[in-house]
Amino acid sequence: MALAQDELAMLRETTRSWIEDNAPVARFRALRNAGQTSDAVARTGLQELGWGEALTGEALGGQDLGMSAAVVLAEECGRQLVAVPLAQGLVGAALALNLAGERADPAAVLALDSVVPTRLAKADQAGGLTLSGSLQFVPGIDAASRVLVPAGSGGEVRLVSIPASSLAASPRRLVDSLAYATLDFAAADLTGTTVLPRAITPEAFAWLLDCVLVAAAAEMLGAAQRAFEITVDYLKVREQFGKRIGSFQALQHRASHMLCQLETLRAVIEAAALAADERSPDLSRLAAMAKALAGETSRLVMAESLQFHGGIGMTEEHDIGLYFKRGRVTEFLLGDGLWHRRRYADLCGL
Amino acid sequence: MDAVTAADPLAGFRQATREWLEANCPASMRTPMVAEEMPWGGRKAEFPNPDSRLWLDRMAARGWTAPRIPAQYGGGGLDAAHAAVLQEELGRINARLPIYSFGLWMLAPVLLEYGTEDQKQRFLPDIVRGGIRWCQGYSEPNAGSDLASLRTRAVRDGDAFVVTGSKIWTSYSDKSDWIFCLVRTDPDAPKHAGISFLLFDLETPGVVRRPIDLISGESPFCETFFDEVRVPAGNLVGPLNGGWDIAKRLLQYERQNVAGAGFGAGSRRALGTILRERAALSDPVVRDRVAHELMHAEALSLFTAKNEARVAAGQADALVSVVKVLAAKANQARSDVLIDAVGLEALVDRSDPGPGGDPAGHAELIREAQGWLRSRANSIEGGTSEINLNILARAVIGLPSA
Repeated sequence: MALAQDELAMLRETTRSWIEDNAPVARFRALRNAGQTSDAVARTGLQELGWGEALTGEALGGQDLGMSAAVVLAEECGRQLVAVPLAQGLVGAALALNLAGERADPAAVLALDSVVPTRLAKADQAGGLTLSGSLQFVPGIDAASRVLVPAGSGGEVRLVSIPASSLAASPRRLVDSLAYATLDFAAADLTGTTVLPRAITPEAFAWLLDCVLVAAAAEMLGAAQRAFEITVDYLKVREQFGKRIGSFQALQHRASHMLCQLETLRAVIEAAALAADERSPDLSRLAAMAKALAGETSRLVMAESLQFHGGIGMTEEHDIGLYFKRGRVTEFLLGDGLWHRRRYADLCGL
Repeated sequence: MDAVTAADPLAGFRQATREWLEANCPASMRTPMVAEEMPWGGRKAEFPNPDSRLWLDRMAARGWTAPRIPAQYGGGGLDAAHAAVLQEELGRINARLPIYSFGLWMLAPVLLEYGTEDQKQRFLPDIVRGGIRWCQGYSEPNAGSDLASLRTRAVRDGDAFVVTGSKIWTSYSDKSDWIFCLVRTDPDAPKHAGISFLLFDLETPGVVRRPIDLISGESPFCETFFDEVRVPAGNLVGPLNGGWDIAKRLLQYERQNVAGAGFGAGSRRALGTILRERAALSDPVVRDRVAHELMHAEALSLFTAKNEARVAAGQADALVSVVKVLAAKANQARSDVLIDAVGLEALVDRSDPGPGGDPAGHAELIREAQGWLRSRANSIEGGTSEINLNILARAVIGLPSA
């Protein structure tokens, strides 16, 4: 069921105020300082706020609000750097389970390779299940009790559900203070592992992957938009040479360039979400655009935001550094700009 | 989305529109526009392709050259949803624009907002039909980015204003019939508060027009001089000395409409085709750059469409400067990547006899070289990129003035 613009605006308002009350960026900082890499409270809370239902298909009793709503959730989480697996968790795992005929599960994460998102594990079910292949820098494994591994066997894709405790996950840490893992399936203990019975067609899996990319881009937009707002607020109050620095044309023009990038990215993400909901053949091209442009926008906005803050932005105590580090990492997750431009060029027939 | 479905409440309109277009849009009007055949209308209208006149007349008879303008002024009188269906159906058959018109893109929306009933009835039907070609009298030799310092005077004399001064960069004023012109009606007021918005016929005695040769070898812009030109007082739009708000609003419509320029789907396809034919895309660096520019151009067209919907809903505002800034950048980047990939063969002069053997491709590259030179004006005309960045910083982001 697609929502009208005013309904989406209400959904955004509710989600924003819940996150600001329960999972603001200060909480991300506090968790990080306590050595934690995921926010279980936010994850459960967002599910209970209705997002589990929202992204569950109607056939399974959910509301099936689709990607037009999912990008709102992603953007709002991005604004406060909420430490939940978003693209591959709240959104991606929910949509994957729908395709496999199951309801959304807040404890599930869809395992996708961060460098080449189309890379799949291989499953062999002849004479008992064996898995092979490996995935790099998979986010959110630490927060999951159940990891959904898309495995190719011929054209169709099946979801292999592995208890997180059984996985051979080598932990990695990146500068954004979140947890990533290298998964080596040949070494996985398959105790408790099930293969979800309903196969996903190649077309449906391509759609799922595009949706995950669009959600990731929306989360990046949220983070960049918030960093921009924090920076604009600073430009309006910080004084040097007896003037507010936001009155200097050199800085105004750079701020306007940031605005141009943010506004076009938002239009791309909205168009991509709509294309996902309409099952449009344009989706793959728009998803590649969304992810590549989100990377460029994020790079520009985060770097300018840090620069505009001057020395204070370099300090550990200021939030802008958290946005800066998250932004640079997300550029590379689920395929970097080069990868997505190549895909876009292929899809445009260049 | 091609299928006509029963679930679509506009299905009947879509079906009827599709059938009408099928019967009435000539085949040659379903091919990409070429510069020589652009129909600009006006008293001196030229139609090198006779189908252009047929297509214009047929569309104008239904008011579909201006789908959103109310029917009592000659427009189509369509609401946003029906106008969107019409656009989709025109897009489906790759129909050309029936008319290129500053009157339609810039003047008509401000007349609807600020004109008197009499002015709407006098001017709008001719704009919709393409009967009168309009040009824009804004910039002056000493009033470019600082437009509000303009000095062309209009002095009230009985039932007329007497206009004296000069305008520059008036696009196609030599080919136009009427001008919408900013004039100073109160030289003592603060600069924004003494400007009025005046319409007049360029055939009035005292008007002299002189084309300016540009670096591209073309002359789309003119100097336009006024020596005691008498303009009926009834041609004043909006309040006396209240022209600045109208001027700014018109610029917002102008900036929205730069979307018709070089970064549309047709132009994106042409870039790919030219480079593919020259095997330039086998270089991964070139291919990445082309993908980058095409992506930005496509993203901009999505933003432009989104903003168009806001404008159509009466929400024209300063955010349109995003379109203006990025369209200039996209056009210039498109030309630059093409020239970088092709090299000197893409910097050919109109007088170049060509390498021999490939006359069609050669003509195309001559056009591209001129397009490159033309594109450098994109970041200057209609408000420079710098002025538009100022506007975004102050009016949209809310940064303080110095």
